[in-house]
Amino acid sequence: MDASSSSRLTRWWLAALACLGLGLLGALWPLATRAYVFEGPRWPNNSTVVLHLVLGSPGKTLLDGSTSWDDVAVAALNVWNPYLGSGVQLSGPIGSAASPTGVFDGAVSFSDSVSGQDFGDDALAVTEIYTVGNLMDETDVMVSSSVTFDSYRGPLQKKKIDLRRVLIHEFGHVLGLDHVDAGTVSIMTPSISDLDTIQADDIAGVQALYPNPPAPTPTPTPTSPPALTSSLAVSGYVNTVLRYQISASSPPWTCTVSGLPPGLSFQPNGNYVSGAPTAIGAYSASVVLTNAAGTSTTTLQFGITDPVPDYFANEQYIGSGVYYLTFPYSAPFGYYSYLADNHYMYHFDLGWEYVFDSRDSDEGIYLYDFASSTFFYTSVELKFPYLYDFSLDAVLYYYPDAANPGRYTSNPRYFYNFSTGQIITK
Amino acid sequence: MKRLAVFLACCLLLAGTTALRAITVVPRDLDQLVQRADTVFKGEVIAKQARWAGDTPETRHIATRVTFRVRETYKGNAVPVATLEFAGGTVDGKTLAVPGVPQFSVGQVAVLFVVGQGRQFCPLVGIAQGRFHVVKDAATGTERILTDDGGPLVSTAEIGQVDETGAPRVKHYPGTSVQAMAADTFKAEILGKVAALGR
Repeated sequence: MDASSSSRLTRWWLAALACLGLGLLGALWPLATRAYVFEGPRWPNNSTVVLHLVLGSPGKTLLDGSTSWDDVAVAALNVWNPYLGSGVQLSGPIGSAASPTGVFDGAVSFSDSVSGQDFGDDALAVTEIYTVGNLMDETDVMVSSSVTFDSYRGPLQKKKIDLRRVLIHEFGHVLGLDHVDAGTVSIMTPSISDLDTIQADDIAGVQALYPNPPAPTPTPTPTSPPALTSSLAVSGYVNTVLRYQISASSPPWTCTVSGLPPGLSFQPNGNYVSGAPTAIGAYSASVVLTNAAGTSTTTLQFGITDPVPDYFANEQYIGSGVYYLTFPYSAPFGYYSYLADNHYMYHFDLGWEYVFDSRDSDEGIYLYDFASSTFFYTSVELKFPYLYDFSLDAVLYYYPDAANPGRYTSNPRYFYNFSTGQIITK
Repeated sequence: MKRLAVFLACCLLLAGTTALRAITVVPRDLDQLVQRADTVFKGEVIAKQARWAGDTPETRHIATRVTFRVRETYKGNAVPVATLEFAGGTVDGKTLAVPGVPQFSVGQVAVLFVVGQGRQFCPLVGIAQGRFHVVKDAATGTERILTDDGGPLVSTAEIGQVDETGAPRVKHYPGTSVQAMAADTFKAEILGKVAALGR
């Protein structure tokens, strides 16, 4: 990186000097927006870069349906491979078995350190590359084990980092791409962003390093128009995030959607509908799918309701699943808590009391601020998600999350009182 | 004990939810740079030496010790010479590159926000964000501040601000008419932040 940084620095001063001597010449410089940047070394031609994937299991189903971090890594590797020429390919065997002599072994793993030294608070993942001369020799990717990761497409979720785009970026380093300068749309920007995959500049970069990729396998021409295969009925709750992925037969196809409920929009980049509906009602949206064989139009039925149905009356106990809550404070959670006794814990910074449910064998965590008589809730995964409001003598009410089938979500307006069996709206 | 374990697990989960916004690094503004740094100084690189580091085969790696003549100290204890160690470097023809970790050349002058020296693979707050180049304007002799990627820093309000594509919200391309802020102004703002920390 520093070679390019130094290079940029040098160029800045050369440009500045040129401006002094040549007047308007400097005004032309901004047009020369920088594109991909090379680290310098590359892998030898006709080499297989083996990255043993030892990331393991997340112990849950990730947002994109993956059940293995290593599968996420394989997907990230395969984003690059179609664009690599010169006989170079990335390979991601799962596990740490040794590879045959002559291939380049590395590993992708979660770690709390980089070669024995702390990650620090600022790094999500680090790629180490050993080189000899102008050729790469060995590489390892270490992902910080102290960060909460998931795997999903689309806009970045602040509290759950998308591991797939992190690894796509790191594998770009593995291949020899450095961080790009500002103004370039690229997965290789230093900062993670809403971009979730490689961009044209990244492809141009690796193809400059490894030219002449093999011709892609031609996609069969569809013989029939596409047909929608995803659900024709979509339910959601007002002011609650919803995501609906469109799938269809006979690819490749393009898609347009019209007539969506207010608050929802179609994302052509990933062929999904997302947003938070702003009005209760029944809506008919039109999905138009087009491929080389023709066009089909399908009607989607959206049902947007208030999230206070009678559901909870029959589901007083929601079990010890994993729930996603929202934490309204920008202040990070501190470590400064202690277990005062078997039932209470106190957070010094925020003045929270944690009260364990003693009414049954399952422990629930209530977050309650005695000073302000209000509850607090967080965005992390808590396995014991009862949030208790003492003033209401009620727990936070959970209902099925339309955006994440099989999971529950909450709205700070709705509470449930066990004694009366009533849902309370704040 | 089970409850304690649950609580500790929750703490770990919560601790991992701070505003992590970067693949390589978390964007840090000037307040965070100052707050998180153990020391902040302006120094000139007077030596650097790469070596094999690590006591075990698992931790063995190439690291580079960079020695600075400290010209001014803005936070922390003032010392005449400071040595920082960064992962990466070249020993006996073998190079370890760690993309994102800054490298240094003898003679370079920089303002450094140092944290975790001796513990972290890169002892700077925000990795490369914790290094600002100090360059002398050939015409006026004024020292000015460039960001790590070599672009001029016009205002400290630009530090750590990125948009949804990961690009800095304000970017000044080389050769544009903007003028990098004076090193003295940068110093004054840092000292102001440091003073505010003590209040």
